[in-house]
Amino acid sequence: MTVAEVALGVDVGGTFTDFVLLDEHGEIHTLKILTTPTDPSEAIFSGLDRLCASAGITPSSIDRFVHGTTLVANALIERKGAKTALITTRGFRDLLEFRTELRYDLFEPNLVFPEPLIRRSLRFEIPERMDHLGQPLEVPPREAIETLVGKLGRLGVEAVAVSLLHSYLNPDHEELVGQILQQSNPDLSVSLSSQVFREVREYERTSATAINAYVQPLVRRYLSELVDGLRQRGYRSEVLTITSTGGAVSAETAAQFPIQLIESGPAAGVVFASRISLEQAGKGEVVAFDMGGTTAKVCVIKGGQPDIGTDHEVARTRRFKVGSGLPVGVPVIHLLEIGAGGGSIAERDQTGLIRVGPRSAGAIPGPACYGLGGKEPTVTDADLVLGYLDEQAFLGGEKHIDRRAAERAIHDRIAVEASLDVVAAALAIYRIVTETMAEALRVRSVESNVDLRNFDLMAFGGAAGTHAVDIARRLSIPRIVCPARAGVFSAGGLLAAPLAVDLSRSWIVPIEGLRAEQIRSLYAELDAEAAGLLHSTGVDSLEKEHSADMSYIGQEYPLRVPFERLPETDEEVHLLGKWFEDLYEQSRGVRLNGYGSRVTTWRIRVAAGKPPLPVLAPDEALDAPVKNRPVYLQDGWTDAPVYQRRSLRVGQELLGPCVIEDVDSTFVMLAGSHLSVNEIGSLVIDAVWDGARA
Amino acid sequence: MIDEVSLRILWDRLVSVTNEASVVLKRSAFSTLVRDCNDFACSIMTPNGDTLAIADASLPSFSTTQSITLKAVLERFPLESWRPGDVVITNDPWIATGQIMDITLLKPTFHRDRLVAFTGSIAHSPDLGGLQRWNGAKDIYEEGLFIRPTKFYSEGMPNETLFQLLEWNSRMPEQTIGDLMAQLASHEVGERRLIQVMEEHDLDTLDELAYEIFARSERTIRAAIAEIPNGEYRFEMMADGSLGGPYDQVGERREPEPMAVRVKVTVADTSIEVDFSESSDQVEPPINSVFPFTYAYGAYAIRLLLVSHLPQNAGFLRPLRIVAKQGTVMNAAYPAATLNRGIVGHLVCDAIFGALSELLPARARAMSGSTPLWQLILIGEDDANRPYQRIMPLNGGLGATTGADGIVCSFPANLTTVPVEILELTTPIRWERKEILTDSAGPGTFRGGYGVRSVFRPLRRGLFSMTFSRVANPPKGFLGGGDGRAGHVVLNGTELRPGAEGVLHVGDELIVETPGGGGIGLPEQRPPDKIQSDLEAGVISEDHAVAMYGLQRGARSALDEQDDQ
Repeated sequence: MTVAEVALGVDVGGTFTDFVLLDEHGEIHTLKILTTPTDPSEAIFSGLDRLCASAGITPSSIDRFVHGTTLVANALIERKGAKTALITTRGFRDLLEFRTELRYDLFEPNLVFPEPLIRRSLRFEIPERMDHLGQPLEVPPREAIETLVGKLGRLGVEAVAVSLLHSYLNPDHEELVGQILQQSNPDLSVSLSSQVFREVREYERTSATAINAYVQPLVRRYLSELVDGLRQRGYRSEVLTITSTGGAVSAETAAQFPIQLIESGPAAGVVFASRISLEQAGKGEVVAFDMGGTTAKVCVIKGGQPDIGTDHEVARTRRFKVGSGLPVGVPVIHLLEIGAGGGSIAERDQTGLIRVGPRSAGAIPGPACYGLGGKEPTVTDADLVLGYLDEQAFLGGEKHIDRRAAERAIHDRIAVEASLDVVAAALAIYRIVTETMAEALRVRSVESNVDLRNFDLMAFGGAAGTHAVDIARRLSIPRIVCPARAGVFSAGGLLAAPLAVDLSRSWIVPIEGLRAEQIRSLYAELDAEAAGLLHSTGVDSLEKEHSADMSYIGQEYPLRVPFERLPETDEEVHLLGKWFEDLYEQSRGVRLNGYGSRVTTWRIRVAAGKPPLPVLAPDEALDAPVKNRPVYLQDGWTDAPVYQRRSLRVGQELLGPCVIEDVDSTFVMLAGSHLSVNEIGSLVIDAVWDGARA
Repeated sequence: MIDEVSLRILWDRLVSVTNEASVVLKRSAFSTLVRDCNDFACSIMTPNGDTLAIADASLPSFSTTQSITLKAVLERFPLESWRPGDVVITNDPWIATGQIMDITLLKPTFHRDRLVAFTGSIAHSPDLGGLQRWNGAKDIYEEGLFIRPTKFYSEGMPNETLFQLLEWNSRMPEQTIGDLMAQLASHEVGERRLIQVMEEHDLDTLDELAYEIFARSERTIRAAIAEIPNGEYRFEMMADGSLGGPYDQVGERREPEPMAVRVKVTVADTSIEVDFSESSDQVEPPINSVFPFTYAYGAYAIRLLLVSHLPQNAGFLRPLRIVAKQGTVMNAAYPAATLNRGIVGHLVCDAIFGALSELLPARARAMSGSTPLWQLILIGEDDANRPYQRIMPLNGGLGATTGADGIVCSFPANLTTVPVEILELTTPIRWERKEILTDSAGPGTFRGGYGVRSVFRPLRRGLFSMTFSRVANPPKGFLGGGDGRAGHVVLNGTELRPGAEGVLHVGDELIVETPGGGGIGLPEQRPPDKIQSDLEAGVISEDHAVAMYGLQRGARSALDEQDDQ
């Protein structure tokens, strides 16, 4: 191996900031410290200094700095963004208020939506109109815009979103408004809808633009402080940030389009799972499954590519209700969030049956066993009663949990009325929460059109290991992979992400009659734009992936169709239709004859080569005694061996029932499952073992 | 006896199976109403025709009709006559959804050589021929191809004649057939997954499971009903009528006649009867409700009040009786035209809320501007001489609830707005304005949702048909809340009456102002900061704040002044 670059990944989460440093010998150094919410860069710098000192390097020797941040999502949830104004076409300033007009829940008595990011008194109309072909009907008069500039100044507006009708076809009017705003006040943050999210449907485009404008001043300040601090420490390269589709972008691009950072941290974990599965397991069909305290998050990865969605929302008023948040528009890895975590509360619903989640005890008061005042039984309480968790060794022994409190809560709230003993009630909670996750995944698999029997489950997050084998069995998923150092998985994933940007443009056009030249010229524009965004990162060789949202004419639900290549001649244009029809048949099971197809949105992903896949090898192995403890499995108590994960050696094999304890998670091997440790320290578990690997 | 944990898991699994089926239907459908407006349903029913589970996103009006349909179909095709691979199709309004455009499919599921369940699906068809102008038909025959229950597939073999007829009778045959294919695909998934569940849990039949689910659901709703004091609760509301005939003939149309919707809700211990029989007699225009539709929304309103978040099934319906005398506006007789059944049928909810709001103040909901739904139907040819037909919901303000101000949306239907850019791309018309109507929301401790003002200008000559109401009878507030503003439709300065249709010429100006929702609770009790922020936003005027909320004149928002400086 040649001398490797020194790379640092920093994942700034809500609670912890995680660090993974890959030194020039390819060795891994990790650190987990508390996030400093008021100024996240504080934790970044103090952690960086500590980690460099302990690894014996200087910050100036770092070749690549990549970070993930929850700053954008938090600013939107907590409404910490800038005073923002909207400029829109005459007659349409209330679009943000009307939303799509769809009720997110037919049975919710009190519908509550997030307040628009920009209140009505800061939403301004200008006399302007473009038609549906992108032909100007009325050019916005300069004086009207200048008058508005004065007003914005007096109101103390820091950021402006400009979103005009049909600007996805012709951005001239938006650009004119943008120029005048910028000339009159260079300090103003200006976001144009035709640059933030150039797609048809004015509400979603305006929402995306408002989000971008609202967080831009904050993100710009944050990134500039971060860059300054890193420069002072001698770091010379680009300061990279991960986008919601798992591409790394420069600080400049991130500051221009902060909306793309909304799922920054989780995207890194998913990218990592994709690459590990594709490059190490040689498979690429994997479900990333992250179960934490409040929720479980799931992403389906096909052929090494994570599912990317364009219907992501932030700041939902009902966390698990699609349609109750602010639409983001831009592509985001498709994470399914399920109201099932360690803190999910078990209770009896109106019919008297037990229900687990989505209500959660959170961190405070937390599960009853935390002894912080929680009286309601949670999944963690059930796991403790069943012997899956160890009273003494929870979180590596840092936290003591109280089995008696867990038993009492389960007894009082669940067992008595259900006429069950405490253990049976705990098992009920375990089974129901597992089934809740399995159900959500079943629906998701239909949406993504995948057969889960061909997939691996990659489990990470504190509570995943306790439930993984049971979930896999319920879904007939044969194999579970549990990577080493799952606690800093996202931070490690930062180092696996390529430089990449995703761009899109709506142009609704039937395939019939389309010319190759038209496609080429559209992509020439997108190429130039992408190159501009990646240019500052100083890369030459670019990989391009072209795709489009396509449907049969008249059908509204599009399929994302990857293009094997761009058509060279007019005769080849029909290939687009063929690729669409093939994919449609493959995913929907039918081929419709005699229907024309069309493109609604054209997409390109431009990436600049993948960095080598970092290996998060486990900490040095330790000898740890195998202890036994009673564990309740399907049909009764078993005195199961409990292994410390750090004591497992490469190549070692174990048969369930047994328990593997790690610092921040516990893996429960049900009877009939089989585990082996692969060459990079991942646990590979066959959910059902018949003596030979399939 | 199934233990409680298995019951929970299996019950959820059945709902999950219908959700999976609905994903398949939704993503393969051509109809924009299916995709964007959830104008569909997927369910599992017992061999008796009782609903066992239904997809969460299913339209409320469809939730109970599939069971009515299956029971009617079983009279014609007895249980023992069904074979694997059979599919029955119908759009008969009197046994299905009350409207000819909605196609119901029913298919048996066989497991271990026994018929264990039926899967059902409904989707609003893109086109079945007919007039298309919802105000224009005088009977069912003018509305589209009428399909009484018949075999669509027999033992897996398609009924080619029927397929051919459907194709020949549709303006968009690919889309009409395409949506039927999407429905069939959803049945396949539902069936496969249901059998998988039964295999996993080694079940021969669903009978015991159904028994438990129904019994538990019934107990739950009976317990909720028991909390309401026994008695008769009546409510009467007036509704705008619609222009009458002559249809498709030269001559003056008859003036709209107002109608009375009268409901009597009788609570007796643990059961409820909802009786609409004293409502006005059936009217000539095509706006009467049809019984399955009246029943469905009656059940929806009661569920919303009592057991809103529990999965739906037949057990919840057992203590509920819904009655409407045939020949009234709530139960129109064959062969009435029914495309606009919502004009009366949607009022079922408002009437029930009216009868019970004083009794259940915590769950009260005022009347809504989109009850009934407002729709603009545009028909014509585009620049390339391709025919278009656009059904466009135009929503008003939702009635306030105890707990939340109203928003802009439809209710009890759930139809999304058409994006301005999509409308203009697909239809030769310009949407010039779409804005909140100042002072349109009914005042209250919780105020109603706003009405919306839209201005349209046609770019080519075409036909329009405008479905609307609440012009003479604005949405009422409850528990001291005020009424929402009445709606208006104005073409070139002339106010149109409900049921209006005609020609739109290039350069015409069509203004649609949807009604605001009613308020809940006394306006004086509205928190001052909320009044202030509505003032600042300009959604209420100072005059309105003074007159309705008792605000001191001149107490204009300090915030506002600060902004102006």
